[in-house]
Amino acid sequence: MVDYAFARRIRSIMNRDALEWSHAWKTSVVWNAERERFEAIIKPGFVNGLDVTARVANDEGEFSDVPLTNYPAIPLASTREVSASVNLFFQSFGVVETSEPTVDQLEQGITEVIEGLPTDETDQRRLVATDLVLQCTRPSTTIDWTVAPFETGSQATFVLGVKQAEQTAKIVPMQEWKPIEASDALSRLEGGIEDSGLDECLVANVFFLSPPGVGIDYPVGADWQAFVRHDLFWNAEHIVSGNVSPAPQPISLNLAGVGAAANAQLIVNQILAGQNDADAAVLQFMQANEIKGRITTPGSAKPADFDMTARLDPPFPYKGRS
Amino acid sequence: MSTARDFYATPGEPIRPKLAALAKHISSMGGVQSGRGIRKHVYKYGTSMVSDPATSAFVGAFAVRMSGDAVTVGHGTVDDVVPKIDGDPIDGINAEGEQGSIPSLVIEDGPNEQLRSWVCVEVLYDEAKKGIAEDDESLIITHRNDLPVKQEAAATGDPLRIIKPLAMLVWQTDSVVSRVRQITFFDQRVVSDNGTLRLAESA
Repeated sequence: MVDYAFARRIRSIMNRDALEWSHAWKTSVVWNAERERFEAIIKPGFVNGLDVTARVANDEGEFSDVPLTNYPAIPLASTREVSASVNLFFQSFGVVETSEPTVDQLEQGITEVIEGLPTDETDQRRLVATDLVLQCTRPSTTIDWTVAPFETGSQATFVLGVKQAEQTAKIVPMQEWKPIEASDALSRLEGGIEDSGLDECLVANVFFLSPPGVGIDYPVGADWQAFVRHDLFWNAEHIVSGNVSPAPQPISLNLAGVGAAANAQLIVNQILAGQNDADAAVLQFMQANEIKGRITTPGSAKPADFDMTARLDPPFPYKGRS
Repeated sequence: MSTARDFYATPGEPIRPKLAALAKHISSMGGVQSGRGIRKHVYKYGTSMVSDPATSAFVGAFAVRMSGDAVTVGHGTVDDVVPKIDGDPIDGINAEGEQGSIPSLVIEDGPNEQLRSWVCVEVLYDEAKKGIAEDDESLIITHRNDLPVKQEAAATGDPLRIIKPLAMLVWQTDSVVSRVRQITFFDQRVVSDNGTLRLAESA
């Protein structure tokens, strides 16, 4: 009877937190004590229903592309200081944005201010970051000139071809990701800017928050805290549009005046009219023929409103990409 | 607070006060029952109550579940039409609106060389009608181990057949599925992208 009574004595009541739904690309960052580095493990996301890979080294140092469904540990080695536009979430931890050099500093002959070093080092923390990027390959347009546009001033000819590439998707850690900038149609037609055949989007920023009061040369280590801000929440589709036919096509296009600077010897209006027509022809041609890719997901591109001092990621329903 | 020792009588000690104290202790505790969402763990030295609040777990459309050697697919639509497995709608609701049994798709083929395969929805699109063809084979759930690399290359001989992967089966061996990874979470619509038909998330 005593045992019965004691077994039914309430010793604890626990209220477990409700777990949020774990979305695709959800990234965990852990410290690998053996290799002394942070590593990212990503919940598998898919592109066109296929596995996405990450390039990692095995114990023998041999690199291979491992599907995310096998949970590779992606090393995060290369970081950048975050000193401007510090997220409100991290400001609440004591990270401050770097100030401009003061008059006193300048008068004392200090000519260099190291970015990321707070003005008051006592309790402030450093913030460094790295990016995880989804990189998709696709075929790209190639243009080989037979008669270049500015040799004749008109009726330029070239061969339009396709540089074939397998459509693959991989996760690439980058020190700082910047979107691939679109170049103007004329530059692409001239072949001055080669199509990389890559489409990219940010998966997540990974931030590392230092202990208080560390110097600029204090390395990222086990005593730093890792935080992840996601930018991709749904499985993606990589849609490639344009003529991906491998047959090269000889093309003749009247490009007189394309992109040419106004010639002072001629009537400006006449030149501009001709130039505009030729520019429009280039733009139209490129839009009709160039291979383009885009990475899309379901969901609205605009994230739901949320308290940015309390959390880094927007809540469910997660934002998408159009 | 009482301890178990308080209720045991040592040799030569009167037992009645001990029993009275025990009876009082038991009556003061009352019975504790666990309700919905509350788990009650009874151990030798006490009971723990664990509360799991309802989560906002998201399931979405076309949720693929594996049981034994067959999969079932949760409710989902393509152009507002429910796909079928062996002629039965995947949600088990027949033409009269009555709930029947949920059909399952037996996985007969194994995985590919990378030990992967896919549960897909396949659409036979009637371009003249601008809609899904009307027969039992026009909107079906299938199992494939050779998913096309490009969505645009989904046409398999017939230019109007459109394939969308719903979930990936990750196999441990050639005969054992270890995990199901959901790929599609939303109802689908047939859309045209530069003349190529494909399935995309319903707006």
